[in-house]
Amino acid sequence: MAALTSRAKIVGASLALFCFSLFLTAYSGRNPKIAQFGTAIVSEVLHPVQSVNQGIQSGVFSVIDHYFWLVNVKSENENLNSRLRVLEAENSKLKELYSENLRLKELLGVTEKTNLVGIAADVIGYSPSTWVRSLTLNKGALQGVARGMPVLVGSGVVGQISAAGATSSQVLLINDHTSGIDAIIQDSRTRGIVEGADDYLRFIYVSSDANVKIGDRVITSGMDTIFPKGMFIGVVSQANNRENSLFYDINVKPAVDFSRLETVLVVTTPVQVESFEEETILKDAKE
Amino acid sequence: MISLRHSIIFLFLGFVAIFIQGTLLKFISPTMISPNFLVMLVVYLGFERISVAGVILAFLLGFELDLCSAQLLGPWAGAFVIGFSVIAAMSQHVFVESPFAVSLAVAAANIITALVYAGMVYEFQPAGVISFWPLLLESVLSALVAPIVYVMLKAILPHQDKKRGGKFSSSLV
Repeated sequence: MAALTSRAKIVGASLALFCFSLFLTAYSGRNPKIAQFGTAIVSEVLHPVQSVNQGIQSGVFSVIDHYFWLVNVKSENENLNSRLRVLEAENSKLKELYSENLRLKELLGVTEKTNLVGIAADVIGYSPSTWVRSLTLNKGALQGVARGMPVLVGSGVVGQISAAGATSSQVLLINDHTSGIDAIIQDSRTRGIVEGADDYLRFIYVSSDANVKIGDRVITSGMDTIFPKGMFIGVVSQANNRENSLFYDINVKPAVDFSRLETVLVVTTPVQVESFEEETILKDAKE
Repeated sequence: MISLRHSIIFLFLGFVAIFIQGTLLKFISPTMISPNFLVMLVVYLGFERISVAGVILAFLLGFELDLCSAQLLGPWAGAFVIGFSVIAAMSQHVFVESPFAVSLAVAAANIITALVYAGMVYEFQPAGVISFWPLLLESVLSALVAPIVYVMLKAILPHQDKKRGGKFSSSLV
């Protein structure tokens, strides 16, 4: 009897908690700020650990790359080796600084070309879930980062800030299933929405009458008021125009390699919306 | 029963699992699919701690993962509650001391929780969030690592009561 009661309690608790989680999901779906607030707190808690971990890992990788292979050299070369190790360490540090310099220069290039003002931030973590494509940056509200700000690198669009803590923030990558960007094909100015699909992007709502071919460059239209106009998103890798379909079936290969991100630019300039209709009218008039 | 100390350790282990999944393993290769350590914790609860406190801990573990996603609060919490319930119901039909049973349970729990998660977020992400091959790979990786993690968990959180699973455990069929 007692076992039965205990079983009923567990089943009841499971049902109640499942219903509560359904309610929470629906509520946070309609009030995203709640989830973002929670994330900002967790992000702040994990931030110091992630930063330390990043430092240790880059140190370990540096040691593996530039030190371990020297372990088996002959003993008579020990003196030379110790000197070599010091130089290797210095060299590694210089290489790291050089690569950081290149990355920052690349970001500076973006700001110069586009007149955008931004904050350079380092990637310190990724989403623990396989089904959420996001990453953590080491800059937050105290440095001027706010929710909705676009995140770029020299090669193209990375994503947007989905939650900002005091000293760290979360970026929703453009290949996440919940991400959507108003985009155009650079040459034909065909407009559509780019949404995430794990390792690639889908360019949807492109009319089947449009002229789309593999290799076309897809850029931001600036109409979503989040991403500045003209930022490179990716290249059309597949374009199928199925019979009796209103829209094209287009896949886009992202311009950014999300697995190699180290430093990114968080754009703090508000995006100016340019009239797409105006541009289309001008284009039609030219034609 | 689960003591307060064990509950706190468990929730701390949840954060450790999130840290390992989200930082340590992803820095080695961000595209790499990592084993789902949180699901292993849920399976441990479902096998070893079948109680109301176990359900609540499974919920809180999912909630921790929700907090790290910056999207929705609740889907992982709900998915882990279902995962816990299924594993708890299964626990009477399998020899839980066997590493193979643990591996199988972790793989099954990983698939179940992912499907429940996809179902719960369907209204907000109708395009679907789960892909077959990544899910399979994640489940296989989790299954491979699970026996080691399970042994570690049993060492970290030894049972306080001599009767494994308590009264409820013996009647849950």
